[in-house]
Amino acid sequence: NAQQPTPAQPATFATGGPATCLKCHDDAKVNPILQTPHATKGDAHSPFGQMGCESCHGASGDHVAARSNKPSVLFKGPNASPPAARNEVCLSCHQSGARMNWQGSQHANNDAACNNCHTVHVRKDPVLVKLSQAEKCFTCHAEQRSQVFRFSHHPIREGKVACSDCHNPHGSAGPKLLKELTVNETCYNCHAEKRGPLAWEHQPVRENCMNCHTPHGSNQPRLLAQRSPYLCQECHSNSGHQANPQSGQQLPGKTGFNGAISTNFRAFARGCVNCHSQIHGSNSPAGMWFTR
Amino acid sequence: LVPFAALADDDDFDLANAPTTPAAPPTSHNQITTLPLTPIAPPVAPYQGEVVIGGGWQSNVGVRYGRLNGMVDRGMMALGAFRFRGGDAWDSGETFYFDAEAYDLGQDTRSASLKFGQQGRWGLNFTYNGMTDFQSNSFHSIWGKSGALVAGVAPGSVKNATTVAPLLQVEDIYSRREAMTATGKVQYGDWLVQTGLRHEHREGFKENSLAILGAPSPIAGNGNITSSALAYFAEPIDYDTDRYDISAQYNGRGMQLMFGYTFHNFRDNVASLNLANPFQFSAGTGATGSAATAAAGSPNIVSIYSLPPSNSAHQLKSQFAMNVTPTTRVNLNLQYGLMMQNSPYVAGTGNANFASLPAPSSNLDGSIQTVHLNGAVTSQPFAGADVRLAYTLDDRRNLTPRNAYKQYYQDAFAAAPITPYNMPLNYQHQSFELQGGYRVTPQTKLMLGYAYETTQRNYADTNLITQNTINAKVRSTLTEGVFGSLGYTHEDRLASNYSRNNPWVNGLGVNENEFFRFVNYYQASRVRDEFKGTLDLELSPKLTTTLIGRTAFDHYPNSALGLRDNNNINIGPDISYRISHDVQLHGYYTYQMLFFSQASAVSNAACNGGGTTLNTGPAPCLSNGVWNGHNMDETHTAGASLDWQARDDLKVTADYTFSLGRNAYSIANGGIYSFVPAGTAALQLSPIPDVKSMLNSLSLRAEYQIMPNASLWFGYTFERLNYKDYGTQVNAAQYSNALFSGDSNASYSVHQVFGALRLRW
Repeated sequence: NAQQPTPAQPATFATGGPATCLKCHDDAKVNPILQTPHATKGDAHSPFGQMGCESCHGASGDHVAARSNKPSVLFKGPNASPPAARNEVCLSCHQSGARMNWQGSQHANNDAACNNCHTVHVRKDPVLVKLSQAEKCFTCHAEQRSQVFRFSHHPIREGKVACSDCHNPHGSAGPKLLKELTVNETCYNCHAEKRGPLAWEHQPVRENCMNCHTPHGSNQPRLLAQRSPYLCQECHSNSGHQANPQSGQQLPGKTGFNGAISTNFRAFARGCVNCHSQIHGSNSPAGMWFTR
Repeated sequence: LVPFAALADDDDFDLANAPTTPAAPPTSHNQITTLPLTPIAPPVAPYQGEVVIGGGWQSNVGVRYGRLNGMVDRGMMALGAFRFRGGDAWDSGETFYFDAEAYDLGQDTRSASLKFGQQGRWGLNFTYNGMTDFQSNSFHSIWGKSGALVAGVAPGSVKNATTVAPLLQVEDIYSRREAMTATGKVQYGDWLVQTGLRHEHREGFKENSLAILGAPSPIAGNGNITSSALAYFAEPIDYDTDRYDISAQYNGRGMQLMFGYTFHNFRDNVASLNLANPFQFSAGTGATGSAATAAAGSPNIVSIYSLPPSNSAHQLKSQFAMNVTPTTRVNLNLQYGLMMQNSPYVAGTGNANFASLPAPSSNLDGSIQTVHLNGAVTSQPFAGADVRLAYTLDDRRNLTPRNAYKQYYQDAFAAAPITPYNMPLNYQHQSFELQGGYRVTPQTKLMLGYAYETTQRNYADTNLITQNTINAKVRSTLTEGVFGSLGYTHEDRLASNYSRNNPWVNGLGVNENEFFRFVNYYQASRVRDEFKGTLDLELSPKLTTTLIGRTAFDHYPNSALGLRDNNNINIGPDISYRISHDVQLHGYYTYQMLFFSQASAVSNAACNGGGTTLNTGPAPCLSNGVWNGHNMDETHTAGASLDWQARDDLKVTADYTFSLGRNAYSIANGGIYSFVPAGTAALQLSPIPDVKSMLNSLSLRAEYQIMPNASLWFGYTFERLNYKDYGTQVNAAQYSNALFSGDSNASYSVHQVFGALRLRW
């Protein structure tokens, strides 16, 4: 509804402040805001420390005079103001910190309005609660909703990890709206043991964890994009034992690809990582092959 | 997978927040919600409390079910939650507030928080959070959790691993995180100073495996086995992780600033694990090395496994933003990071028969500097138009000393020691982006973008990558109640300065030159085409549907080996239907397909020098043998939910999710290449079983109000996972030279019932 015209700008504020509004709007859809930080009159930064309801909804003297005159900023309904107009209200206070990169961000470019995700007139905004946040994000991000139900996933269904633990939906200087400036910096926040530096580094690991992992969920163990050995053979495919085919012929009870008894265990369990179990890097002086 | 997800959340499942009037229908893609979010307010009271006490029962053990929520065991469980909140009345002119809550009490995943302060002046916040990771209740190992061999197994005694199956120790593999944070803030005018300390302790075990490399010596009594031995072990986890943040923000109307510092410290309280070798290796196999594994040598082999070394990191962060005109904003983000690691090295080998090879220093003295810079200008030059110009630098400079590490990389058999150099990896990634949008009509917005990126690396296959990306997107309200968007992105990545693995050849001293048309997939030339689309239909005020689709096709035009194609398709509808004032339905379906196509060479002694060096020229080695592999990874996910206000005092919700995953693999002849190279038998291939997972998950919840301030909660969860994976269904001791984890199948079928009393005041 980004195309709805903005209603005409009323000229005056209601004389009685919030009390005037509550004469008509003292109902359950509206007044929970009185239990939220937005309604703290003693805080000069709060809307109620300024112009009350009209801090956000715009000067509404004309609306008070005649209900047919809509407030200047409407956040819901068929006559909702354009996202830019709604966001301007929120950004007039919330432009710093995590929201500093909002302008030009993916959500801003796609006309997302703050109140598409946030609900202000409730005691606690569901999108700010870890247990309920993902449901809001999945409204648009159906691919990720599908992924969290897969065999391997981060504890999002379990309510222990929220989308905002990794992402900053308000804009980021990093990729994919991540809170940190790189993928790896984001992952190290919980997986600090992978940070290093290490004596023997595995280059794709150091550059981007997502070279091998898919963070929202996978049909493969350990959030892998593909299972080992096939994942490993996306790079290690040119020579040596790592390049050999691992078909059903290498499963228990079968012979190897060349007819001899299978003597390697790359086709099952953890694949190549059965032996190269320090695949994220090793700090052993003898760890060149990531086995120690 | 949370018994009562709303215990600490008073919006989703709360009688007091049930809608009394129909929610406004969604009017755009971004407004479609699965549940109404128009709660009723309780009377405004300065102090409110809520306590939930109850319990539940689980029908079966479900390791995979409870892996991350802690509910693994069969039997009874306790549930509890509370919340107290309050403060000065909104119109009192005062600003004190407090909020204390806890949930999942009685579970390993329990959480709690307390925050209080004076709004607009200062605030303190304390949290506690428990997390679980239950990997297995049937982990088999020849080592106990202490790292010692199990009773009845002497070092160097096992000739055939199948004979020790009854002796293997069966363990739970479980770890738990406990995180505590304390944060504080002080606000003065437009300045805000925040600080925080987070401490996390993680303790337990995780599954790991160890190769005891003995090639080419045979294991005694197993003449057919010519490679090494392998065994799984429980890796101890005893981590302490700390993070300290402090920042100062200035929030002016026209300008915002932030300066911050973050210190990370990771401490591993276990430096290494010494695992005695259980396998008996043949005598006299160290022909080219040192004393090797002579007859009495096997018991002397102790594999020293290095665990993650303690490390630390510092980050200096700054952000600046300014509205230079009413329609133009400038952003600058700058971050400097320093990662350090200086833990003492473990010994390179634990084989007492080997000559000592001291490391070049006692520790790595590793450090890496990172610089991240992002600058952007966003502007609306005229009505309906917006432009964004951005530059990003991501630079990693590895200052770790480069040294020669003379080493045996095998514990059981010492070929002549090799002397490779470590390779401190550097890279620098830069991107320039230009994005523009224009509202061509009030209902239609068109967006165009271009990006140029470069990546430079050292010690890499390709030292330089350049990438050009163009994208276009249109968003439009086609007619009343119909909204759509369509986007297209084309990416062209070109790899150059190809070095054919020379860094490894030169740095490690290994003879492993690469096939001439091979580059690691993430460095290789790539062409990507991506399409995205959405269609929202508001069929009636009560019925809305959304169709979301995305496809991406990656092609690696210059890669004859490795990953050659990678496709991704996602599509599915989402439907919300408010049947009546009191009943709302929501349903969705998503299909995702991932497709991987890759190729590899078959090592062949006749042409590639013993399977380690492929000839560089196109002939004759191209005809030696190449295999093609395909992986089709498909997932169907469907869900339905019901939200029903059955009576004024009864609310019921139901959620059902079905997810079906299937991985199909095929490996086949490489087409134009022969599989019958001189001197070897024909390549023998056989099908790989599909990997399948099927999840059925049903959740029913009800809340019945028995008194104005008291209600009863009921819950029922049924979840079943059917999982078939040839890769994990391997017995612990079915090979003579390997001992696997032997974990039980991950499938489960779990019923849970819950009940609780909720009191509010």
